[in-house]
Amino acid sequence: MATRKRPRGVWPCWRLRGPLLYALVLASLVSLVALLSAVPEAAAASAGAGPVFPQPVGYVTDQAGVLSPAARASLEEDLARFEKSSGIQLAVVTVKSVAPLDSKMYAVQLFSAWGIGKKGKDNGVLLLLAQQERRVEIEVGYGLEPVLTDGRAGEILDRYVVPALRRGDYDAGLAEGARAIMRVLQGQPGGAPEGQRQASGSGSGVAGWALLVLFLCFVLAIALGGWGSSGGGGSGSLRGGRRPGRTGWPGMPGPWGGGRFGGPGGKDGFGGFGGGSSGGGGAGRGF
Amino acid sequence: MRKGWIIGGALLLLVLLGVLTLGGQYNTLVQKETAVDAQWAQVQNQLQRRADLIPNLVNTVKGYAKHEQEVFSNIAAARSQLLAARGPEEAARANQNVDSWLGRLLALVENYPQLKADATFTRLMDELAGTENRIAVERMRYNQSVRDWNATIRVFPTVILASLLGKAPRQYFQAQPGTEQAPQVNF
Repeated sequence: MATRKRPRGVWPCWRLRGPLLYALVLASLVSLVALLSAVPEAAAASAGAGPVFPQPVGYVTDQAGVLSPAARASLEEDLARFEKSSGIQLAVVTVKSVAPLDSKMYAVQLFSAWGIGKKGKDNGVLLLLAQQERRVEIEVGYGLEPVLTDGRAGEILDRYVVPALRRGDYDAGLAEGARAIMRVLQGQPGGAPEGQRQASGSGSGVAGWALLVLFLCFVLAIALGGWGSSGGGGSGSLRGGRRPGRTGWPGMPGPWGGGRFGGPGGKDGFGGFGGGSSGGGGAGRGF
Repeated sequence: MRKGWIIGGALLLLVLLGVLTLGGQYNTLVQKETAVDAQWAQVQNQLQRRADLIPNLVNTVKGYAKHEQEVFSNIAAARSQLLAARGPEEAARANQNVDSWLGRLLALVENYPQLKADATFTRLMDELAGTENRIAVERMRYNQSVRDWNATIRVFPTVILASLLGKAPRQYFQAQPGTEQAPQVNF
């Protein structure tokens, strides 16, 4: 063999053969590319971005400008008191138009963008009015679906909201609708537990050696002083998995939740929405 | 000899680094696959909910429209197909079948003004519409998680680990084009 003739001092590492070489090549490639792998994930996460939503200014966000200042203020007060007593966040929103979405999808996406309700409890409700489309929607958070059923939501719209809106009385329509929703939800402390949602277990058919690798990593991570320093794909995926407020990954900053939209200091009540989510429950009507 | 130790040490470090990143990728894979499974469970919940609503709706309509047996039996057939469906694609096809027969049922309702004024019927229609909205939402979220998963197991470097673990792409919740209209006529 040619290697035998070389001086011992110069170890020809480029002549490595077998599994060690493969391990070396694989390891260096993987560690190089790991740094880049965060990029496509971030790109994929932002690809699903929808239309631009208004910023919440309180429980009532009257973007279409259809409410009188007095009605808006008194409704805002009621809603603040309602959250204080029940923990439930009810947002009343008017927009000029929901294009290019339909009003229901707009309600769903606005709900998740704002994160109405508390994270984990999903105890939020959105009453949305689209002025141009002449539609009104009630979107119910997962946690309140058993109480504020679709049938009840439709009834509220039929009885309190739509007649007033047809008369052109937006103040009465939205205020009466919000109060009817509050009456239904009254006495529901923080909303029911999530009966509807069942998280399935993690993948069970995992090969034993993969677990061994995982265990090894864990030990090594401790030995090397900190998992974070490796810049592994694990933490990157948490950042990339942008499913607003639904999965509740620990340490994931709720994209919109957590009081980021807190009103100006002295304002009583509204402290920002809390990362709740909904799944299309509720009802809608044209008027 | 010392040089050999240094090189050996460097090699070992590189391997450790590789193992660490592999661990991170493994976690990514597990999390994303769990997300897909959880979201699929959500879709199934809503499909089940829809299937549960149908008998109530049919019974209410039957009270007013007794002579529409054909539509009723077809809806029942479509419903049991939906309940028996396995996997996203089959479920999507069955769901579309239910769509088309429910559409006929609702068109038929137009002929019965008393039925349209019935409070129970209105409530059921709200529940049905709400369920359809929920299906639309969960299906959108499911398809997003599938897109994310399918992309993850195809890009380098996760593709290596994914193929070692035998991770396969998942099906979207959508019917294959061309199979939408499969009207089943059972008497």
